Amino acid sequence: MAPDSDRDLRRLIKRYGIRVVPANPDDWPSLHRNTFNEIHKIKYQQFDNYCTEDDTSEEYSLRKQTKYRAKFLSMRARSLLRQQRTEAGWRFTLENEVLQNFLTEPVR
Amino acid sequence: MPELTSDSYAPSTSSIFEDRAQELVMHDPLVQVKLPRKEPDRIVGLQVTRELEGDYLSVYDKVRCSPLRDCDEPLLFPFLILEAKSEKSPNGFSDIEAQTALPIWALLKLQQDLQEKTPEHNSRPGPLVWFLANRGENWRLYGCYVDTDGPKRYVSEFSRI
Repeated sequence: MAPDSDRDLRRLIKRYGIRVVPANPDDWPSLHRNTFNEIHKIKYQQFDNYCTEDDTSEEYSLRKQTKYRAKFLSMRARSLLRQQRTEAGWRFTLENEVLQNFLTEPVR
Repeated sequence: MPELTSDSYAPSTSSIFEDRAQELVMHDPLVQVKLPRKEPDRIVGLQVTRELEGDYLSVYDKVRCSPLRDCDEPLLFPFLILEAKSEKSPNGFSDIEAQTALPIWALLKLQQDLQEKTPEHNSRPGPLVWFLANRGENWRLYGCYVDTDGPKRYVSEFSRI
């Protein structure tokens, strides 16, 4: 991006009152704090600790599927890299696969 | 009134979600200033299904429902935006944020207008758009919202999660 247009874009962004704030949970807005906290917790979730055999929650079946899917996506990513595709190639394929489950999940 | 026939809907077993890749995000026609054209890598929103028909018909003539050009199966109220850059790209995350800021602002504004024009529905906690940015294998998630805690002016904030 040419420096002038980049500067103009940033000026426009400032003019419209758009800003990026650092990831500080104390600064999160009260309206969205609960939602952000739930998402933030996922950052610390370890794959091995998620949905173990001791899990007795009602969502065990759903969690097990999620864990299987995470493993599948990880293996798929590794496979795509081994194929030495271009970055655009592997990203496009993987992105579609990551989103596909989400986009085709039936309404409940 | 849009003509909604049995062919207009995705089958009732399909998702209420839909996505678009690299389509021009158009701003509210009331925004007078000409804003730069941006086509985010991907945006995810809702599509009209039988389940959403009633809700859609109750608002479609009150507010803009889609930030994209008109079509028979519009993408409604997108809430997730993805932008990716190559690991080798000279653009850092600051540039990715700048490039996507105005499209996100447009998506928040759609939700904000819906909230204001349908006060009969309880629409807390307010407009929210998720922004997932990645540069090669490094990625960041932002929660984007309208700041109502501060002084009374329209401010969109992107907060890293």
